[in-house]
Amino acid sequence: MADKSGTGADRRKRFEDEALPHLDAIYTMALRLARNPDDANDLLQETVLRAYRFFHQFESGTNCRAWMFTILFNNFRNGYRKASREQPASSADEFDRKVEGESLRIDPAGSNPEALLSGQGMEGEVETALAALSEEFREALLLVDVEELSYQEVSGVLNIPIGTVKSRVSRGRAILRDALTSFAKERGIIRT
Amino acid sequence: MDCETYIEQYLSAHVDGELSAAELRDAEEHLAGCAKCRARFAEERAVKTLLRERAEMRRTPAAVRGSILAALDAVDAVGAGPRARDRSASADRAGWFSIRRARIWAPAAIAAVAIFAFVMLHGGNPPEAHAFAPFDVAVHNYEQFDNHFEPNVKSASPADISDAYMEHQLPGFLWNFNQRGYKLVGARIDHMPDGSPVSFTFYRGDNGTILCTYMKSHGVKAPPGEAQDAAAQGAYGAGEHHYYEYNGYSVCLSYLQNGCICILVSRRPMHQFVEDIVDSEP
Repeated sequence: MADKSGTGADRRKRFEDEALPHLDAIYTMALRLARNPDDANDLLQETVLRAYRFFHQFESGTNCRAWMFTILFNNFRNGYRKASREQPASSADEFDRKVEGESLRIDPAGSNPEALLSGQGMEGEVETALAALSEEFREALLLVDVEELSYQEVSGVLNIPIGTVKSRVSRGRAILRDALTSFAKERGIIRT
Repeated sequence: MDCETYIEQYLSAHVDGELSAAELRDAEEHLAGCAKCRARFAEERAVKTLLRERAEMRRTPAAVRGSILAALDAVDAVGAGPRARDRSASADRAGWFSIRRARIWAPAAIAAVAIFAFVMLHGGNPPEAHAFAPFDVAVHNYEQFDNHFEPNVKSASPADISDAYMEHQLPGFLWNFNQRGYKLVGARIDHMPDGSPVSFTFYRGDNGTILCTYMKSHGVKAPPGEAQDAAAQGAYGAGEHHYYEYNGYSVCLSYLQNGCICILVSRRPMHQFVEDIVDSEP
């Protein structure tokens, strides 16, 4: 049930506790969608302000990250999509270059230095493979595999039927697998 | 189950933990006897793990985080809190409170909502075999709006409309039929007799018009009698859209989040209507 109670201060506190921890995830996705830091910043800010404005509609106990993503994707589609579609797909290098100096990289391999070292090359492989995917497959895969949303949640975020989520994940992952298989075999990640 | 069925229909959902109990049993039974698919399963899981571990995650720049917090402060600082402010701001901006009071329902729409109210109250079957009250609401309003559509929420941009819908706990998502040559004309929010909101988004193109209606589902199930040619097209993603030829109109029913349904109505022939929708799916 949506929380209708609470003073402004309570609401702010709850928002900071429940919604703002997802800021980096929303920012990263905004960068992927908008493809340049200025638009991503606008998209992020607009998303957070809308989430705050409609926070009374967020149902406690449901996935706040999925709810924030829903607002992000709606904002993107309602305002940014046309412009971004006219741009060519950006490569991983471009992604890196554009955001260089704008943000700090989080160690993707956690605190394991060995994984971090071997991960340096892998990041490029994975991002390149992702960038080669069409938008619809990439969005579905990122939401399921990276953000760990359920198909049901992704269906709500993207406003597509669950069956469509399922087929996009399946097809997207098959394409990604083909692109990554040879590399993964070299590293012994996939047994032959 | 053969390998092709497993790989095409089960594999991804299996790795994602999205199979039903019965499907999971079938999948495991197949894997137990198929080394090739066991290897394929391991690969699929490795790709998923690789993506989760190695896809880039960016930290929000401090300056951006700071400006967002400042913007939240600014929202908090206005009036008696964000909710009160939003209500008055949206009322001023969109003017929909006053327009709602002045709204005069067309006779057809009144009849339609009466049928809808009947179904809601009695919770039973529609009064006619093929009548479906939510479609009547959508179709009767479509007939009216096709002649004249007057928005009653600010419709300067899709974002304005999305805001207004979300304020009424309707989906903030808007269909975009631009690629199919339809322009967004505007939006209305009205209310059913039970007080629940219903939204109308109207699109006009060279080849016709489309009305998108959002309303609370009240638990209604998709009625039987789906259009055969739509199903026969095997349209990508069509599985959970339900298409109907309804009183001479093409109608599409789908279920959205927040317990809402979406009903799209057009005079377009069914096969073209299906194409409009499938090509415009987000």
